[in-house]
Amino acid sequence: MVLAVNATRMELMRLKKRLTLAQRGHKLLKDKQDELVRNFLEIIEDTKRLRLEVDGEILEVFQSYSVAEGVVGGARMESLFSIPGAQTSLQSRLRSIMNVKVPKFSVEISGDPFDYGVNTSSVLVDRCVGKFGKLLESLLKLAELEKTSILLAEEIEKTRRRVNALEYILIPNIRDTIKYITMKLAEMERSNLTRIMKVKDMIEKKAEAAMAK
Amino acid sequence: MKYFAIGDEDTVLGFGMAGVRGRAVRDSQEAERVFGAALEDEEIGIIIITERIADMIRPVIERFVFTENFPLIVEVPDWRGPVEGRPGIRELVNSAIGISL
Repeated sequence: MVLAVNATRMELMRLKKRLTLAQRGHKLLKDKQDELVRNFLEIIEDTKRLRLEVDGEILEVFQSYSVAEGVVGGARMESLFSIPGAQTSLQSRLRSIMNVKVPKFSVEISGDPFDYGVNTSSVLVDRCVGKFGKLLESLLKLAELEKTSILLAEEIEKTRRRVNALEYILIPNIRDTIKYITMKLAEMERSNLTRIMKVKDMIEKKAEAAMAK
Repeated sequence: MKYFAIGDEDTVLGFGMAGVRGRAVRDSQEAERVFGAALEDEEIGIIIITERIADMIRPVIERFVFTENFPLIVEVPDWRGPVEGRPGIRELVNSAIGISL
């Protein structure tokens, strides 16, 4: 499609500049897209691996939990932890991957999770508590990775749209317009030339007629 | 910021041992209410939700995950193990954003 511009030499020069700019932008965005996809695939792989690990870890934790509960008894278990001894708090920061801001967390556990009486609990409970603490860290990582992959995917989609818009719409349009203007200018030059020739012809004929008189 | 657990009683109690607050829920209405309240709370940075509960309110969660950036949500299997046929993150992303990689 030809852009709506005047067929002038100035416009032609401007369009040529725009074309080089668009091509440069297209190349840059394409590179960005490739890099994003590479990062994305890496993160997807990491997520998958971590997901499997966490699944295993959780099963293990729940096994040790049910064993502990069996030994200590459900009601007492509940009373042991009705007032939690430990406090977990998270610090969040933003990390940038290819200018995509992704969250990054660090966890801080304050207080003592093992603040219950020795004779009302069991070593199994202690183990279980420890395992839950460790599980939290893996879960944090997993949440981070999953969010990162979603954010990256959104960015990839955005970049892809831009690349396509440049590649299939803007650049062809500018090319068409440049071609249109060049042809129009050439056509104008030709018509100008014939006009000059015609005028010259007429002048010469007049001069000849004057000589003949 | 803090963790928040939503799940069945055992899961919530378990995470409670590690110092994570949580609410046990039984049905989808309760789950939706607790989930909504958790989103409102600015102190909460990560919501841990069990897969079976998440499945009850799947549309709510999905809408949230793909529109909001905060808090993060992580789904975990409960004591019965992972739910069969769970889509991986790649499939999830593909279906939500419509790109295939």
